[in-house]
This record gives sequence, structure tokens and C-alpha cells, in this order.
Amino acid sequence: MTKYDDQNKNHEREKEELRGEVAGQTKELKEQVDFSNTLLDALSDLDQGMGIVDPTADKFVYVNKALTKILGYSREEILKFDSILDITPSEEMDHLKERQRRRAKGEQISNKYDTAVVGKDGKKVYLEVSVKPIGDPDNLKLIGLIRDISEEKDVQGQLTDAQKKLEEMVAARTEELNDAVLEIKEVLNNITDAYIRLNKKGAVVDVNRQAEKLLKKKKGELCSKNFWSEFPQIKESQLYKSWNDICGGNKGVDYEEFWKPINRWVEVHAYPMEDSDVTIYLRDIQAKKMAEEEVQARLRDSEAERAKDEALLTSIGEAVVAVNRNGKIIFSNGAAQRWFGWGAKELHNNNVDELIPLIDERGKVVTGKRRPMKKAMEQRMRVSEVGFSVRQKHGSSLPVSLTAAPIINKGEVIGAVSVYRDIRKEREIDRAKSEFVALASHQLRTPLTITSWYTEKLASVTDDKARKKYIKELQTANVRMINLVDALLNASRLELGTLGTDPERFSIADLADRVLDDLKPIINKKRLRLRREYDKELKEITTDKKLFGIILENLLSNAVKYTDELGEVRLKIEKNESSINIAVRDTGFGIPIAQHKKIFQKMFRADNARERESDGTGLGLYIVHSIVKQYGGRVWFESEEGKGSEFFVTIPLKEMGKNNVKDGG
Amino acid sequence: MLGKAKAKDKKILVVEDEDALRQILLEEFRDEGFQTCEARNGAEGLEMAQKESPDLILLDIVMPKMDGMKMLKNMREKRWGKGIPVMLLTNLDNDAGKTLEAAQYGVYEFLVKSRWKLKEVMKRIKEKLSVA
Repeated sequence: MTKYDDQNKNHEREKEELRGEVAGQTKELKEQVDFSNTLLDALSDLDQGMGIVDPTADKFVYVNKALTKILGYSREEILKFDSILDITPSEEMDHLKERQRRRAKGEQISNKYDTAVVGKDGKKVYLEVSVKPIGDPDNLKLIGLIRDISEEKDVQGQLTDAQKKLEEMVAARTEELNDAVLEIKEVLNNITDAYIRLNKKGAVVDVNRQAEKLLKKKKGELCSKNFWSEFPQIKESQLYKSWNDICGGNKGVDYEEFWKPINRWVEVHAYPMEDSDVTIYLRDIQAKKMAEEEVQARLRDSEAERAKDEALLTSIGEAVVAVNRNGKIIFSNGAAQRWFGWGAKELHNNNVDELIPLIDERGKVVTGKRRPMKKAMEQRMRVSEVGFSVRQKHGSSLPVSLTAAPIINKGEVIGAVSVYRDIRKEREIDRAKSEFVALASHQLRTPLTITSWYTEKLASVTDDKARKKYIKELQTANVRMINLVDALLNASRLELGTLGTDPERFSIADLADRVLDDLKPIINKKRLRLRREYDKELKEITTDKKLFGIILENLLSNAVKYTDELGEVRLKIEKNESSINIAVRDTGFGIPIAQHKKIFQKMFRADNARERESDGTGLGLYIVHSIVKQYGGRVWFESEEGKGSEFFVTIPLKEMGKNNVKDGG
Repeated sequence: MLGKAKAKDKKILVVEDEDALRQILLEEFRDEGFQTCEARNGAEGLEMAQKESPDLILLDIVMPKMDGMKMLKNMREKRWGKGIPVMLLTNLDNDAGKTLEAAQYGVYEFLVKSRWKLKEVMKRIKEKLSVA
């Protein structure tokens, strides 16, 4: 073998060694790479975001899956960023740039910091970043662990907010408290109570400003002086009298009295102190006492006034009811209770609409706004109604005229008051008047026509005989009218009770004869037989001549009127101890039995009377009946159609002499 | 044509229950030359109207036995009664309803008794009967 063989062997051997080294190193590298890969994979799978950044450009050179999730961008996208600043919002820019600057300068900067980026979805993501440099100084990289702290930030943000709010509240509260304290301090500083401190023996230990004012002595003058000696009149006070008790520490006192030395009413509070002194507070209640006096006096006055008013309202003849704003009854007088049928308790505090219902002229219930008191409250003025009736508790209606007025206190309407007047009487009078007018005009028409036509004829003829005839008719018509009006007036007065009696002494027989004389013309014309039977004892009586005369006139004229020719009329008057009795009998056409019941009714005329005799008011018997009743007597009759009639009247003597001019009933 | 007829050829029936009024009316007609007949109530009036065949009837409303309305209604149903002119004597107030009713039975005129003068009544009647 040659040198070349040896060289080749060496080369082979060297190559072998190298190969082995390379293989070994490659193996190592491979292991290292494997390890790095494993590491990277492991890092990749971390929940925590991780990235490797080239600090010179702040550019990502590696990001793990978690970080892509946090940022919302894909790995490719992130690696494409020029720098992290691409996704850094403006408010974080300064911070990051500052870090860059300082790092470049070589200054120490913190390895942990908070920042924020804008994720792919545009939402801000808060990050906590931990960085660590790795690699050679000339190939420095930063590895950063990144945590998404958005949630925490939120919570933190809320906490901060809450904290701020709390601080504000506390600040406000503190301010309030401070104010309050200041106030109290103010008050305490200016307390109007006089403060006196005495020792057991009564020597003055301390007084406050108010005490000086009250006692009219300065502190210097008072201290150490004996209080009782300084103000001897105080010895009359309860304070002095109970001094031993107070000092004994048993109890404090609290009372009002008039202190002569200062000439004022005071409230005295005295308490024993631990050091055996006694503290006395005095409050000047002079003004209060005077005010109380004033109020008492006023109360007495107003109570007197109120009592007067109540008495007035109670006795007033009209019903008075007051309600509050809601229509609840707050006052009712006696008349209201009586008229409307309720007790005071039943009315009080209940709804006036329910307990005092109003009915209008058409019979409908008046409700709501139409109610006078409600109107008065709304319009703030008096409201009057004349046409309403009140439905009383037991169901009947009472016609009233009512006036309602609002009750105003300090400019505000607080209720209403209503005064009701009972107008039954007035209504009756009205009705009687209308009736009277209607009846009068109806019945007067005929005699008026007669008068009209006969005077026309009278004026146009010259023949005396004719004139006499006409004048006679005129006289008849005239008498007829007078009788009619009299009858109507009497009936009207009787109804209203205004027909008074005016007794005088006269002879009944004479009166009866006179009445019959007036009827003579008809009696003669009809050739009626007239019989008079007067009691022998029938001398003079004292009674109302007019009324008695009316009784006789009506009965006799009826008898004469309703009896045909050649009939008979008999008048019998007798007197006994207790009464006067009259009987008028005729042989006329009588009263049908079916109509007996109504014969004394106003304006009633039996059918047969109507047919056979057109002249008749229907008032005669009504009037007789009323007068007799007024005398406490009785009137009745016996009659049958075609068989004549007999009318009887009996009047008690003792009633006849009465003088009772009635006044409106 | 006015004045064609003569009063004496005309007969007037007065139906009125008030004697005084009836008498004066009859007298007035007689003075003027009319023939007259009378009745005191509706029933008599019907009889008279049928019997006497008047040329005109003066009829009161309120009468006993049978009032004017009934008589009028009755009469108008009769052959002889359809054409007779009727003047109603009335007291307006209470007869107001009735007069309206009467109108449907053919009434020539309404006289409110207390308001018309006798002279005026005569005038009307003469006019109606074409008497001078």
C-alpha cells in the first residue's frame, strides 16, 4: 500500500468521523427542533394567547391559536399587520408609543401592562400583556403572553362606577350632616332657654346669655351670689319649694309658672347634676301664654257664636242642610230632619242625593249637575229652584222652593248649604187661584153675554116696555153674577181657611124670612107652596150672621130651584140645649142614589140637576158643608130621584159664638 | 148676489139653553123679519130641525140633555140635515177642542158669544142667507 492508500484511509476515517459528528449534531438539532416544535405545539394549544413580536417593528412573527381567537383575526391576517399599532385604538396609542420609545432608549419598562386593541368585529378588547425578551441581543424577540381582560375590565368599570356613586353619596350625606351639625350648633349657640346652674345651697355657678337677659343681670353680678337672696320672690315658686327634692337627686321638675321677679310666665326645667349642682332651664312662655289666652277667648266667643247660629238654625222654620264638597251631609237642622223623615245620625255623613232626592215638575229625579247644591258649588253662586219636590223617607213628596249657596273658605269652595221652604200651602193657594179663575170665567160667561147683548138692545130701543124688560133681564144677570162671585169667593176662602167668623146677635127667624123673601119671585113663578116651622124658643143667637145666612140661602134656593111647579118647600128650624137644627124639605126631583156620595163635592152637580136647570155652580152644598164643619156641626140629607129631598143641619151652640178670624190656616 | 132674498122667506132655528140669550136672539131675528123657531137642548133641536127645515141654525154647544156637538153630528148623518148651514155659539175657552171637532162637521161660522155684538151676528146671518 501506498501513501495514497493511507491518505484515503485517513480521509475515510475523517469523513466517517465528520459524518458521525454531523449525524450527531443533526440528531441534536433535530431533537432540539422537535422539542421546539413540541413546545410550540404545546404553546399553540394554550388557552392563553401568545405571540412573538419583533420589537424593532412591533410586528408579529408568531401567534398561537388562542391569540387569534382573542383578536378575532386569522394567523395570516395578524402576521400581515405592519405592526400591532394597526389594531390599536387611538386612546392606547400614546401608551404603546411611549413604551416603544423608552425601550429604544434602553430604559427599564414594566414587563406587564394593560392595553386594548380593536378586534376584527370592531369591538374593543382589553388585554393584559406580559412580555419577556428572548433570543440573542442582536436577534431579540419579545414573547408575550396575552390575556383577554375585557370582562374583568367591565366588572372593574362597574365597580369603579359604583364606587364613584358611593363616594358621591357619602359626600352628599356628609355635607348634609355637616349642615345639620352647623344648624344645631347655631341653635345651641342662640338658645332661647335661659340656663342657670346653682349649687346645692343655691349659689349661682353659671348662667348663659339668655339667663342674663331674663334676670337682667350680668354673669359677673350673679356668680357666687345666692339665687334666693338675689330674687326673694322666687321663694314663692315651686322651684324653691321642691329644691330639697331636686337636690336629693330624686327627680327633676318640669312645670309652668309665673315668676314675679321677671314678671313673666316661664317653663321651668330643673335637674340635679352628678356633681350635686342643679341645672335649671327657663323658657319664656309669656307670648305663648298670651296667645293661649287669646285663643281661649276667641274659642269662647266663636263657640258662643256657633251656639247661637245652631240655635238659630235649629229653630228656623225652614229646613237647612249643608254638605261638603263631595255631597256628604255635614249639617241638618231639626226642620230638615222632620220634613224629610230622617234622624240626624242617618243624615250625617251620607250622600245628600240619596237621602234627600229631588223630583222635578215632570216627576223625574233630579241628578248630578242639576242638583242645586252641586250647581252652586260649581258656579260659585246662589241657585234657586221653585219647581222641585223632595221625596221624603216614607215616600211622599213635599213640594219645596229651595235656595242653595256655596260655602267658601279662604277662596276655596268647601261645600254648599241649602235652605228649603215648604210651599205646599203656596201651591195650594196657586191651584185654588187657578181653579177659581177658570171656574169663575167659565160660569160668568153666560151672564156676561146676557149683559152685553141686553145693554146693546137697551141702547137701541126707545120703547119703554121693551126697555123695562131688558133692564129686568140685566138685573137678573147681574144678581146671578154677584151670587156666583160670592159663592166662588166663599168656597175659595173656606178652602184656604181664610173665612173668618164675626159673631153678632140676631134673630134666626128674621134672617130665614129675609132669605125666603129673596126667593119669592121664583117661588111665585113656580107657584110653590112654602111652609115655615120655627121653634118657639128660637129667639136671638150670637153667631156669624153672614155664614148662617149662607147656609140657609143655599139650602133654600136649592129646594126652590130643583122643585117643579106646584111643589112644596118646607123650612124647619128648632133649638135645644146644645144645638140649632135646620131641616129643608122639598118635593123636587131629588138626587139619584148613585150620586149621593159626591153631593158635597166642590163643583159637583147631579146629572138630573144639570139637565133640568142650567144655572148652578155646584158650589152651594160644598160651601154649606165647609161652614158647618167649621162650626163643628153636621150636614146630611135624605133623597131619591123623583121623590124630593130633605137636608138636615145641626150646629153645636157653643161653637156658634166663637170669634175666630182665621189667618191663612 | 146680495139682497136677492127676503128675510121673511127665511127661517132661523135657535138652539140655546139659556132662556135670556135665546129670547133676545129670537127677538132680534123677528125684528129683522125672519121666521124663527127655537129649541132648548140638542134633542129638541134635532126635532125642530127636521120638522121646520130651517135655512140656518144657531147652535149652542153646552146644553143639558144633548149638547150641540152631538146634535150636529147626528144631524149631518141625516139626509135632511146635511146641507143646513150652522153657526156655532161658543164660549171659546172650554169649547176650543170641540169647535175644532165641529169644523169637520161643516160649520159655517163660530160665534164667541161674549165677544160678538148682536148687530154683528145679524149682519153675518144676513150675509149668509143673502138677505139685504
